[in-house]
Amino acid sequence: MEYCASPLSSWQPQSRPLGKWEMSEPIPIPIDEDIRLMFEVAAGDKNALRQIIDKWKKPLINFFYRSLGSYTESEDLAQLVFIKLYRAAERYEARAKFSTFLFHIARRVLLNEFRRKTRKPVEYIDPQEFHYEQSEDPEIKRRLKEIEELFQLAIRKLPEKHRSALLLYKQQQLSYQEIAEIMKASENAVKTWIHRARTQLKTEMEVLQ
Amino acid sequence: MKHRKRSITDEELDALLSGKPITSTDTFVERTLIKVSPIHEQEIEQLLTSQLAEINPDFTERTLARIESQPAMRFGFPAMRWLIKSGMAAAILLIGIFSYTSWQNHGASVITTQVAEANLAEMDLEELLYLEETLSSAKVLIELEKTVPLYYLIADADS
Repeated sequence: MEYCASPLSSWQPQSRPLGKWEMSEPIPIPIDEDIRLMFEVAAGDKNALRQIIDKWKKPLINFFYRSLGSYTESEDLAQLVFIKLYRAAERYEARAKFSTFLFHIARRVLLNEFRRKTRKPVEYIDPQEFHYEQSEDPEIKRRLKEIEELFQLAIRKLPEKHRSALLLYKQQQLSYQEIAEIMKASENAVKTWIHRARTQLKTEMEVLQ
Repeated sequence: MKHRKRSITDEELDALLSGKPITSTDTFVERTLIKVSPIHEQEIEQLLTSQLAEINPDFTERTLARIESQPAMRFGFPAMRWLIKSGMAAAILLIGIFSYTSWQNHGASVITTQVAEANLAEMDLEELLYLEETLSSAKVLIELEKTVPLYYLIADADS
């Protein structure tokens, strides 16, 4: 795998003023496909942007759907994330994994949406078909489909921090360290939030049942 | 919580038609709700990791179109953003300076008010001294229409 000591090196389209941020030792980040695509987007390659959207649209919409319960809104927010990503491409530096960067934007978009609407939990659930990867058994699938609505109502009752941490960990398979970076918190705090989210989710589902 | 539709019973129909309440040990809600069996932790795990079966196939195209059609896109670039921010800052600064200047001018404007009229020539020395003291302590400009210099009168009176 290729490693980059100075994250942007020749890819950086414009130099930034030196500051405290620039003075720190660069952390070697493996230049994976996503980071390479981001640099290409910064250079004006629309095809690279298309590839990024194709790859990340599903994880993003899934994340937003579990938080909002509306597919239309989830699509809209996912588009907003890609717009912000495109705008930030010129200033992008590979300081962390691309998923960390992307979900950091996604969470900010989600928080803005909550602030904008200051909505109360909506009882209506936008019906969507889910794919339950872990089971091929039709009986289990039927059962999961049956409790899907209950689950969606319960997860939206969780505090935003707890829900986001749990979704990033279980749904997006991110590490504690990545979630801590995204949520600007310590790893221990993230672990606590996830534990509390699990406990509360189970309780909420029992109550709703 | 699942709501299942079912046919209305004869008993319920009669009750509704006659307006009499349904006499039953269970409530209507209890009888129409089908409760799900207890949920296991493993099921919650599966629900958490589940993915939406499909995303609208035109999502990518719509997103790209939205990015390209955004009129504000040009303002997204750092140089343009800096220009706009600087312009706004300059405009706010100018408005501030203009407002301050206007306020200052307004404060220094001359207000002509006639508060008294006196004939100095007919005034006593004590009255003149009192007038002098008043004028010296006053912070406004008073134009005396027809005057005799006070120092002259005072000097004259002393002599």
